[in-house]
Amino acid sequence: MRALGRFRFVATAAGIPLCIAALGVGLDAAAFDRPSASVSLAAGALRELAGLHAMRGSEISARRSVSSICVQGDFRHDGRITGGALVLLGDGTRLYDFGHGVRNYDGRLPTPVQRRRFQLAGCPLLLGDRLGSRLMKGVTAATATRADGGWAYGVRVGRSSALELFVTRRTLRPLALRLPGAGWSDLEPGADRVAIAEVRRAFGLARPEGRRRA
Amino acid sequence: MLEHAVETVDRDALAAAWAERRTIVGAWALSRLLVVAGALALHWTHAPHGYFGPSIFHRPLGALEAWDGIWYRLIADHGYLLVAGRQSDPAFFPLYPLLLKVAAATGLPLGVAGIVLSNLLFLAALLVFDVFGRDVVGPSVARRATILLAVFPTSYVCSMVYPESLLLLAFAAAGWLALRRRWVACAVAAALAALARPEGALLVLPIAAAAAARWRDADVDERARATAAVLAAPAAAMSFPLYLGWALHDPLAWTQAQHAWGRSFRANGVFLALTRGAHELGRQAWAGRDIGFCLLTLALLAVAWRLAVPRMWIALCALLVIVPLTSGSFESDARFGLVALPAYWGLASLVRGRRAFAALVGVSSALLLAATLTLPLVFP
Repeated sequence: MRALGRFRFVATAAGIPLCIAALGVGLDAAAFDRPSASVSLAAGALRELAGLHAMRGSEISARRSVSSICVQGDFRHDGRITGGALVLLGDGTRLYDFGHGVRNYDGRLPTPVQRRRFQLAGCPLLLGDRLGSRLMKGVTAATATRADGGWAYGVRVGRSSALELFVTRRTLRPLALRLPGAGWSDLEPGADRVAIAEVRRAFGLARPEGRRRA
Repeated sequence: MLEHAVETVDRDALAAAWAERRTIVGAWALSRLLVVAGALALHWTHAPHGYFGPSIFHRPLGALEAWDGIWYRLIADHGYLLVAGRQSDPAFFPLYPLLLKVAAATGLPLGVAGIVLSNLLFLAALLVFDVFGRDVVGPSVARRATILLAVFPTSYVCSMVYPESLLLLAFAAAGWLALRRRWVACAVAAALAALARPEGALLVLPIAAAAAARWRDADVDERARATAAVLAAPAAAMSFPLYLGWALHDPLAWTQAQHAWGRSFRANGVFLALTRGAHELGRQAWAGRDIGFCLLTLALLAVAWRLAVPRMWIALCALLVIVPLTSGSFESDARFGLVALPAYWGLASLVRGRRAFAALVGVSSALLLAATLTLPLVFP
């Protein structure tokens, strides 16, 4: 009799919360669309991007190929520590963006070619911003394709003519970037300490300011 | 003959129920009229511009669909998606967007459906809060507290596409049902609260206290139901990570999204909030709103402590405004404190005279309108 009473107690005391939890999961599953495989892939590619703080790039051009290195982090700018991206091009051009558009370190206005090269440098945070905001509205998708001589996924914002980031199929790490009307660049995630130090020196930054963006 | 008698009784009961509640319905209607008028004024004047884009000003009640309302609509439209390193929607609990989806099935646009839903839930919350209050602090204080909640300056959120009305309703219902020992219904209300917002899980405190108070007199069946009611809110809150694990393959998506929104726990968070708060006050006056309402809530809870309010309700409501500080900021604390129900009892107990009460209602209504008119300048 006591065992039966104990069973009834446990069945009610644990059964109702378990039913509530199951019902909660079930209702959510019935009510909300699950991200499609394509959107999940695009989100995975953005997760990889979010984990990077530097990117090496090499513009693919019939005439002349220019290498680039982008370093992201928190830097001292106008007396304040600000998150942003520094890009050092192979020809020595120094460009940066601290959230107010691309600027030339020399103080001159960046030329259209320099702006294009800044974009093709594939700064992870800026790429992630561009792709991420559209991804949540369901207008970014990943499709199977080929890039850099191998199988890849192309993560694209909106229409077929828009920005496209190519990532490896296995690890979803960036491979290449295509910009409409601007061309292509091969991308290589990360950079060694020497290369990052070189970029910092080029921008007159002796040491990291505050926390580096992951 | 019998049918006629039943009909008369029903009509009499309805008339009595209406007579008893018409003050609350009136306070609700007038306060909501103020909020809607404020939103319409923003639509017509397009000022202050603040952070709002032209699309928000374009719709008559666009201001009430703004801020987090955009995210709740996004969830109802597209479901959840975690975008690493960016603000994304798994930070928002699922019940409100789910109800939004149901309300939009009537054919109303999502934003309008959200505004209608929030306002109706707020009316229900006021009615249930009044009933709850009668059992705790008596009819006079309870009624004044309900009217003060209706016109409370931060209650404009209860007309927005936000889950605060739903949370208020679920909190009040869970509290009242626990007092009445209706444990299964209490479990359902607590679960709804925990599915609406994470702080709903804190209902475990007052429900456990109510269950403990009845434990000796209860038989085995009632004890089992009371235990179920205690566990209901945490169980419901747990269902969200389980769902995210299934849908996004990441049960920690909520935590990650909260981190991107700047809402992650820090051991020195409260200290940071206090030091940053002082610094923020110097930079922009809006920081004072959240700090002020946090302190006001705590002060009113201290007043409610002197009334016969269950101690665990006081503890729960203090946690509502203190726990968010562990993220190192006072941001939105005014809104988080809105559901601190005993604070309204505390406030009502301070204004006993009719004139003082009328003056407080007047000032509060003016602040409610001002808060609505400044919606583009600062988020709730």
